[in-house]
Amino acid sequence: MSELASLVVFCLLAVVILGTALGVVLSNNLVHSALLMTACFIGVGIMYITLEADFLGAVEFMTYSGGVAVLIVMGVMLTHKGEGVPSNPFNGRKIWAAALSGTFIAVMGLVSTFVTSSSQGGFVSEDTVGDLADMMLNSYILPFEIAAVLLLAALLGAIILAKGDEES
Amino acid sequence: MHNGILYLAGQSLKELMLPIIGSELIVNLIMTLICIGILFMLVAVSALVFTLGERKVCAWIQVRIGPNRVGPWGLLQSTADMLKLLTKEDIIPHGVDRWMWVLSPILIFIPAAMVYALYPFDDGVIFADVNIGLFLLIAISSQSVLPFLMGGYASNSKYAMLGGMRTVAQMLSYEVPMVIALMGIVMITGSLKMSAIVEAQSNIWFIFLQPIAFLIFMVTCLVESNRPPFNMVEGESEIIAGPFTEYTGMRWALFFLAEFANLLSIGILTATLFLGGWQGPDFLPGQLWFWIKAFLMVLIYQWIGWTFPRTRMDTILSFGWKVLLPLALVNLLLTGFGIYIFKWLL
Repeated sequence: MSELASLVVFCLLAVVILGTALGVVLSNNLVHSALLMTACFIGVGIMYITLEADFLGAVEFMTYSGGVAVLIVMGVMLTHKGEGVPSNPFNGRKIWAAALSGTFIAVMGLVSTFVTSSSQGGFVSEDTVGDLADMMLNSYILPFEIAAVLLLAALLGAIILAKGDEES
Repeated sequence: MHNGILYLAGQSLKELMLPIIGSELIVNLIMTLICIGILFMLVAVSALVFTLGERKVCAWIQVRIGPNRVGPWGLLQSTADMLKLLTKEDIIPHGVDRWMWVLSPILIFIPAAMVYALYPFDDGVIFADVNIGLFLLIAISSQSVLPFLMGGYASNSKYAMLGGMRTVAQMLSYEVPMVIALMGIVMITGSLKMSAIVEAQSNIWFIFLQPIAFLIFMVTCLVESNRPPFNMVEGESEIIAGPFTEYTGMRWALFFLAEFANLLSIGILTATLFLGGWQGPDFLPGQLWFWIKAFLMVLIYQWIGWTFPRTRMDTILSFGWKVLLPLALVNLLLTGFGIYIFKWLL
């Protein structure tokens, strides 16, 4: 019963994610593309939650669809040209893109049918957040801190770029 | 285990249904549907109450009378308003981006209603007491930025567009100090679970342990839910009604349904996170304590809103980044030291 339910949920989510992802690529309007991408992010987040990675799902909602997508939409709107004009410049190479991604899907499908995974789906910890915190702040504290410094540098760089040259 | 009134009522209803229906799965499904129904009722009723309540409180604070023509003390004002909105002509302006324009008021309501699933109304009365409760709550409520922007962009009007841009700027900016301020609570509790956060306040409320976080949280709540004095998004005197400018009738009402749902939401959230939630002295049931605290907070938010004049967009943003964010970081640092000193003293 629960196996059937999770299969149905998976299929529905797959349709939503793939449909919105195709929409991102095929839409003529750049703003529509960006909004469909948000829908895609939300679908992926729900997919994580159904796979019991609830924290990762919430992070997906928060950073990707809550932050990144909003910034993209803002950027798109600020650089928007003219009304009603198709504003998505990359639609000229549809056939090439379709052929390439078709090949990629075919290869991935072949790989996943012929290669048997060595690690089977195992036990999912009840307290995923606690485990993650333990790993980030105890076992892998150095990479975590390096990433933090990198982000800080990126932040400062962005501020300097946005401010531009100092007028004397 | 739990002894909230609604929890006991739910349990006895379950036991009543089990012999009649037989399958436990179906009983659980029915109970889930009932819970969802109750949560939606709550949101709808809060909108009905606040349609009148907001104006009455505003009038009371500004020494006016407020609506008093429809029914005794204007009690039927909400009904009259609803009839008016339902019978209004549904205008779709020329040149709007049709799908986005239609979807925006519907989508805006979803995160506003969804967060109610994560509020602990009483001992054991919480729809989804998940492990990452508080984090999920912030993640869901951060989704309400985009529908505003959608409405603003799709309206094909400069005022609406400006309003949409303002929403994004202020909501994204104030999410940062809000999350960092709440981090202090999470550090003391040691969990993101909503029920655990309420449980941790059984001895002392977090308003006393985290007074700076409480003030930061109040300000950010007002900004996030576009309440006055930070309702730059509407800003009637400068940009008409922001993203809502081109909407009429029921579509417009949906925006306000979401706004009133958010008003109750911030009241509940403040009461839960800082005022001990449903906990209180034994002479009143937990459910009642919960609503007393929540409505007291709503009243305080309305009081602030109707007392101070609207601020300016640039002052809001620089206040958020230059004052609230450093303050929240200092609070985080102090909380860390405090926890260590507390442990050392024990």
